[in-house]
Amino acid sequence: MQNILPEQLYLAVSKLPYDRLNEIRLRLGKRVVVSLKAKKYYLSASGLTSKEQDAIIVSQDMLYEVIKRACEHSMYAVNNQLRQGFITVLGGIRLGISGEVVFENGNIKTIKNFTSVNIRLPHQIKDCSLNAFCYVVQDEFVNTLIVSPPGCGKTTLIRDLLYQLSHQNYCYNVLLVDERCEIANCYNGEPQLDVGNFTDVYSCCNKLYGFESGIRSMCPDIIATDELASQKDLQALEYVANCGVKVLSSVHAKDIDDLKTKPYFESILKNKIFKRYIVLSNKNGPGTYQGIYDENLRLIVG
Amino acid sequence: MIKLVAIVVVVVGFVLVGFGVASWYKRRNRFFDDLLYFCDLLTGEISFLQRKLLQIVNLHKDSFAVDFFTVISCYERYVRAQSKKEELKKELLAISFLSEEEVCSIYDFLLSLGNFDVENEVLNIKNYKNCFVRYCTKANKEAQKYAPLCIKVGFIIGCTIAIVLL
Repeated sequence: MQNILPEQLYLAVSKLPYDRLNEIRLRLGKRVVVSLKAKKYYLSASGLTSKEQDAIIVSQDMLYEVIKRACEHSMYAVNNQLRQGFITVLGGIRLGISGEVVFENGNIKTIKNFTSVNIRLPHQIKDCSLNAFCYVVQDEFVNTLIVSPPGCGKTTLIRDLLYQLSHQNYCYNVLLVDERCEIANCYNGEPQLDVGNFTDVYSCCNKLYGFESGIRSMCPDIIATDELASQKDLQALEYVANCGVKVLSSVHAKDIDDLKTKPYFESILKNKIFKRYIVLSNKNGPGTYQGIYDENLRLIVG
Repeated sequence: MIKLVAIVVVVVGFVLVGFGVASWYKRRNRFFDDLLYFCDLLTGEISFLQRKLLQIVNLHKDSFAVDFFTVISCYERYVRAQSKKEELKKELLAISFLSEEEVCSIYDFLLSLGNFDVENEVLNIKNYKNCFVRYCTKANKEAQKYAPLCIKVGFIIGCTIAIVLL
């Protein structure tokens, strides 16, 4: 944290309990807001405050300083991440960045005129997947899709499932295609969070390339990836499933009914590519199990 | 006997002064050689591996001579947010063999690093390198011309004074 935050901000943040800190939100011209255990507070020079007028105001210099420090004065090295709206730094801390998007020939070139930075601190919650693990691995690992709205613990669950596979000595070779560096939180290519001893990581590469190239070069038993969204992602997924490689992935949806209405998911559901659907919610905090469903979308555990 | 010792001391002293001035030219020459080498390293590392500046500096800084090593170490501290950019300028200004114009160019160059995407970063380095090539060529010519001359002049002045002393 010290490496990325300007002194004033670091001194304030250092007064907070790190293990409970989830997010620091910097919005240009607005007050600094921190999220502790999913509850939001203003941040003043002396720590948390409920008084808005005491809170630190985010200046443009502060925003730029944070981004410059996060990319270690090497914008070119993180521009691929920046184009996707984030930067990963040492320790697996992720900075979500918003601003004015620069296009060139229809492609995103970079982001400029930054307006917000969301500093997300990763907390590996070991064993959080144990309740679901026995449904995902029975005689063998089955294709599994984690379904939840944003911020409900999909990524944490995938990470722990990968960790458990290794920890419980299921010696599957796992290929993690970590498109947005959210699962392993790679910094300079090195995973900052524990994704198991049998996991190979492709970071910052698109799913189609990761799947095709990974299957050829790494011979995985399981491919894990985050956030299936576009038609291309689903085509890549079908390609993997047809290669006999197991899949662990996630998707943004409120529940199973919501998933059914998602565009492009029809054939995935019809072909019963996934044998397990784990639905998460925020009901009792992030990572609340809403239900585990089988390939026919029948509730197994609720 | 004392006179003889004094003559030897004077001659040796002036020759040493000559060596000192010659080494000033040589250090200046080496500094710009290192700077150009650094530009080449940056171009290669950035365009191929997209390594971060700190990684590039850490990997290669031991290959630089003391003057450029000092500057690059100071730059490293600045990138690590352990020192301010003013200290970098101070460090450059403290190098006696650099002119004000040269200090400004090098300072601007170092501060401009890491602000663009790969393509433009390489272009930026190339532009600065063109400017540094001029400095380097000049420094190289000066070193070839004046460094041996300084030693000779030192020796001649020493001898002249010795003759006068006699």
